[in-house]
Amino acid sequence: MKEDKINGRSSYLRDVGKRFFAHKLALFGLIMLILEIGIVLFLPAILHLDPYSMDIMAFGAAPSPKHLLGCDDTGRDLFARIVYGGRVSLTVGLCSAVISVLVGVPLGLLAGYFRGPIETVIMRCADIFMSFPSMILILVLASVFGQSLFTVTMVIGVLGWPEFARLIYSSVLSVREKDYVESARAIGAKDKEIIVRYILPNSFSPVIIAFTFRTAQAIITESALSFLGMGVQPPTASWGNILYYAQSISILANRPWAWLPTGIVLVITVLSINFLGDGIRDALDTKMVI
Amino acid sequence: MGKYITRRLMIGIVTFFGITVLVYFLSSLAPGTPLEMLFMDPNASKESVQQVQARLGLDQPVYMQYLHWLGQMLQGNMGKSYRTGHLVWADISERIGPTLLLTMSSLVFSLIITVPLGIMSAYKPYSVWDYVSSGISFIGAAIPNFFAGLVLIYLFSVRIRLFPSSGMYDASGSRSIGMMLYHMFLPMLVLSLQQMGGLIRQMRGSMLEVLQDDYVRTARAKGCLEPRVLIHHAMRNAFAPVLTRIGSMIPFLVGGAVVTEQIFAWPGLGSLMVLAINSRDYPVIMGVTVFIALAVLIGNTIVDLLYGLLDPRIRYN
Amino acid sequence: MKKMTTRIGRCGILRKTVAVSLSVAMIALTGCGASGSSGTTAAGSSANGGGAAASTAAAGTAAAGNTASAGGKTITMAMVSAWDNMMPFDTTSAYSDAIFDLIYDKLVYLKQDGTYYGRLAESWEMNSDNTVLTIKLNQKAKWQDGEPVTADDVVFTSLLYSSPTMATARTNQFNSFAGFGKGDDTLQVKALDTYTVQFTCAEPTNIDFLMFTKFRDVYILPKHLLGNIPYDKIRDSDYWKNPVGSGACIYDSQISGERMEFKANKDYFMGTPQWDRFVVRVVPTPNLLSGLLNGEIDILAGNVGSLQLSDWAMAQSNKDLVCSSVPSVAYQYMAINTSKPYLNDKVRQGINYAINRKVIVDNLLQGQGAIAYGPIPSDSKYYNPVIEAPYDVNKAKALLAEGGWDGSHTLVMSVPTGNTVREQSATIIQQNLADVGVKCQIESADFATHLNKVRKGDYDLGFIGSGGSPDPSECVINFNPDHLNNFSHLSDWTVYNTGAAGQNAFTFEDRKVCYDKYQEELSKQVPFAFLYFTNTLFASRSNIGGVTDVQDFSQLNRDVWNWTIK
Repeated sequence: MKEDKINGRSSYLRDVGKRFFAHKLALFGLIMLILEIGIVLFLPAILHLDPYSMDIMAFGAAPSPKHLLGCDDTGRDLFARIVYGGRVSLTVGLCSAVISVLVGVPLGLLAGYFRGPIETVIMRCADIFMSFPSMILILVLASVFGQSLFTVTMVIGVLGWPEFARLIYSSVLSVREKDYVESARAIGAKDKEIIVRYILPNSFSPVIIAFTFRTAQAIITESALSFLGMGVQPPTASWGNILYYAQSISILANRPWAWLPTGIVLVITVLSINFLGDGIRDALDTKMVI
Repeated sequence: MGKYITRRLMIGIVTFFGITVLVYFLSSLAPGTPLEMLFMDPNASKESVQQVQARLGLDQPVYMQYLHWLGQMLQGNMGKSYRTGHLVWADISERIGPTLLLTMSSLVFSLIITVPLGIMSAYKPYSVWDYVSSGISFIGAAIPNFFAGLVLIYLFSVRIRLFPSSGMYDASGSRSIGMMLYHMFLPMLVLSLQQMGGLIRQMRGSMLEVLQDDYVRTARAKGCLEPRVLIHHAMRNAFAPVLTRIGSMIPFLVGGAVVTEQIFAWPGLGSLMVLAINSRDYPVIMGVTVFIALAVLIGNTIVDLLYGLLDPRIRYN
Repeated sequence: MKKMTTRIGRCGILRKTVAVSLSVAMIALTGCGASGSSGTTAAGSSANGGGAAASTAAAGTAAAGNTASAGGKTITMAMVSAWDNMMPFDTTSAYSDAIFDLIYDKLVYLKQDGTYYGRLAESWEMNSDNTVLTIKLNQKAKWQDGEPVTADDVVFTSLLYSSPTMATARTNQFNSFAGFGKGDDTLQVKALDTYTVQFTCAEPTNIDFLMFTKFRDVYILPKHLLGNIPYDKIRDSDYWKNPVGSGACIYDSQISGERMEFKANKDYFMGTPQWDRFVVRVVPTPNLLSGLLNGEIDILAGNVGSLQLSDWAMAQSNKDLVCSSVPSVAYQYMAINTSKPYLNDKVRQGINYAINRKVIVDNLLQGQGAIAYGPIPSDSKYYNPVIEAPYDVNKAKALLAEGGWDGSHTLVMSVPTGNTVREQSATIIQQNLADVGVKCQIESADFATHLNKVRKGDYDLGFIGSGGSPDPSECVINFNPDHLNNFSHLSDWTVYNTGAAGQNAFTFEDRKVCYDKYQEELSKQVPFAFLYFTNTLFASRSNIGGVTDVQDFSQLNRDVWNWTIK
């Protein structure tokens, strides 16, 4: 007890860490993700994987020593495509979530702290964006800006800002009325200081949690886009577009290597991110006793 | 209360117009005109294109077209589809029913499963209930809906001939409700799975929080039977965040089940929208937008009302 | 705090029930709308869409004239995309054509081998200088309401299609005839008597060209039902909600975008259908096989509804299905933007020789197709072998060098989404071109965006397909520098002129000479690198009979009156 009082902040982190590592699923998620990121970054160089060249003799081939997971309809090695696809899917997921945070957090802060007309405009805009089925807006934007990795990331990212804006906004609203903020203002602290020292740290946890879930959501959105043919296009590999080409009853039945590994990897990735998010939320949320 | 509703409606109207402007100008940015596909035919000529363009009013600048559309819309006329030549309202009203039927029943189905599971898994953590609900929620959140759809079709339509794989009715000409429900089962299952991913987690989480609250302890101390404590006291308050989540799903419910509608060839609003986007059919794009915006407006107002009913503290703010 | 929460406990139930039922009612109301308006749709289903307790009675009375057909024979045909417009003159969609062919009749029935037999027309004759076409109609032909089909109907239809006031999408079906485009009534078509029609051409024209290119998309409409309506009101007429034609299928009802149902026209003059109902369903390609297997679909539409390659093996091995891989005249090509200075004719020839068409057909198409070096199939009488450019990497490199290709440009390859095989062929061609030193960047977009880019010239290589035709003149118009579909942005008239000459030749020998020269020019200028002809992977259930000439479905007609179902 005495130790905690003296160490103050670091004890909080240690508590968080302790709670997190007690959460077995979250641990599993973390390990899986680290493993995946490692594979996706380093394996291509180690094994000299090539997802683009077409083996003319092996269109639709079954797994063999040469092609660990078989080939797709144009003879490209599926194992290589899954690994490279991992790069794309993880990049899209992370980057678009980052974009959503970068756009949403400042806007939410502005709306919540300064209130008045700024608040109305920003929150109305958030309403407008959230009022519309995102898939449809994405389709419209994809036909406007073309389909590429960059566009897909930007579009999914930008469309995700309302969630973060609202989170920060409600967080700001609840914090700004608190006594310590009032006393900070009374002793002459500037707006910027108040935001940085009091409001942001309190909003930190919901944002982190939302960020992880948003990443998972973005990965699924990208694969759904590719399913509609509007996402990342071949020859660039993405889990979404590998699954797009597997849309056929006979492939589902007779060529499980064409879709099952990709589907499993996709599900595991999203699950891992979700577990991680759960773990973080449970660790950071001090109210829960269980 | 009345002032509250009026204020919400005013805000809603602004939001409504904002949506129409956003969608109109965004879609007008898309390259290509509605006539692009129409004139793939080798028999077309520049003159015939110009004639059709003039007839449809496509030769005017975008903002003029928007104002024209807005003026007509406020008089109740949604215009005619460039693609089918039908009245936009006729096209939409044919598709609303199937969409709402599918999405509403998937919501009801999800709630029927979510609420009991959520309550029980919060009440008895680490029990069978907890694992089942966590399992469903994780799977629902992780599997892309098109993938789930394909697998379901494979399992229940091809391997075991239990359910039909597409469409709303079969070919015999009879249009009974039973047959429609039979065709609807698989797509509804796909949508429910997706929804339960988020809803179960939310229900469980908020139930857990609520069960910590003092009044629950008080109710138990008072001698209330456990079911009454759980349902009558706890769930009512735990339901609020779930309601919020449902509120945020309204746009999806009305026009967003695009992928599922595509896989199962369910003639809904989502697939109409995709068709309209791909053929640059602006009247239909805008018509569906208006409809979605209206539904969202009404839906949000209702959710706010319900919220107020559930928690008087919000009402008196 | 506590007082308030127990208040919820007591009164909450009532309030909550009221609130919930109010919201359900509101949602139901928004859902119902004016669903009663369109009598032709299954209005019963949309009226019940709000989730309110539905009554089967309401659903049953909705479909206009829906006779209980539980005992009748029904044939269900599947196509992969929906029709758009019910007005035959306002659309160029092949999916709509599939529907029109059931409700209405064309003048003749077109076969893929280039021949045709009479449908509404019984006999036809061109005068000696090929300027006047006289058609005698089949006197047994009747409209579905009992009225006879007469020459007046043909005249009415022709004037309607070509009227400048109407400004239809199909107006140019009549641009070969004298008086076209000058006014609403100036087209030189007249009824000589009740059953004889006469068309006067603007210049001497080949009759096969007229039948295959002009009359292929003309569906005869009833004058007695539409003739009294002024042109500016015809599109609003209620006729279109319940169209009456002369064809084998009587329109019954539809669920927009999902299905259309028809009753058999037992008085059909080409032959009494041996079935009672016909249903056209829209089924996405991946679901076609499962639909066939579980009996929901009886037969595929052919060119607008065929199996995807990956399902072919499974379909063939199934004993409930009758499958055939039908060679067709439809082809895919890669348009090359001739207006770019670095894409001169030697470079284009080099590109042509660099494409490994054999791999595309044998491996990607699994042999279900044929190599296309030009728009005319190799088994056609008009085929000229000079157009062949077999895969030759060295020759390609030499030609590229001759054309001054230095590898400094990365070509923009515009690929439309929606056709899996085409998209895959693009990646193969990208690889082929990389092998000879031509780097390409693939840009995908939806079809409308892609077409727009191609028409504007914002591309180097663009992938487009064509339904083809048995008539060799089919592709010629794309090389007309003034035409809307001059995808390759040609400014040189040579290719077009050699091809257009064939329209004014009237004997096979004369036409062959013209089209030989045309193909020679194509091989020199290579505005398009033709890629492959696709086979239609057709399947029907084994209890369907009478379907003999599947390849003719590609000419937008199906002899449904001959089909039988056990």
